[in-house]
Amino acid sequence: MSTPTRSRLPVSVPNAVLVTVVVAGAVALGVLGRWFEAWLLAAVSVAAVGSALHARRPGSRDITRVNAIEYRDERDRSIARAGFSVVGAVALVLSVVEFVVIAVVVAARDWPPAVQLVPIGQLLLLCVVWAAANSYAARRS
Amino acid sequence: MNSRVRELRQARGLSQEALARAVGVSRQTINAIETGRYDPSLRLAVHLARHFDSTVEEMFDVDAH
Repeated sequence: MSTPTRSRLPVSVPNAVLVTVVVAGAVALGVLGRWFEAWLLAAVSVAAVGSALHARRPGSRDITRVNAIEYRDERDRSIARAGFSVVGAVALVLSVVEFVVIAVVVAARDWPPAVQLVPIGQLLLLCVVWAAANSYAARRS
Repeated sequence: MNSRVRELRQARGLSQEALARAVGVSRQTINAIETGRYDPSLRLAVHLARHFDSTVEEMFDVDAH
């Protein structure tokens, strides 16, 4: 029979990483004495864990699991791939729009050209990730 | 893709949840396969066929859409 694809962690690996990063941010903010932001991030981490555990319960809906990044089987992963592919395409288009808008604004308002580096970097990074993902998918199929 | 999953499941008196547990997927996946909304991977198709002591070709009509 097929093996269920749950990890031994109480939440999925991506959620564990996300929660760890948020908790580390909360601790860092606490050390810096920025208590409001620290408590805010702590609340976000608790909400994220709660959402993941809610999605992992036996009777949860597929859309609940996919939105919480708690995939149970191949169909959940297929749905997530379809969703993320749309997100990627939209991110690429928005990055091009952002780059053009910022280029126009920087030229018009005499802002430092360094302001353009962020959208250029974002666009380049997205293109590199896209190419790498395509290459990976082509080699695996 | 048309399949005989519902027919075979009901013939054995299994619920979607019980079949889903037996082959390691969610109930929604079994429902999606039965209603033709989702084509299972080859691995899952083989697991389903084995579960019903059948073959993939007997269970799934690949010519129907």
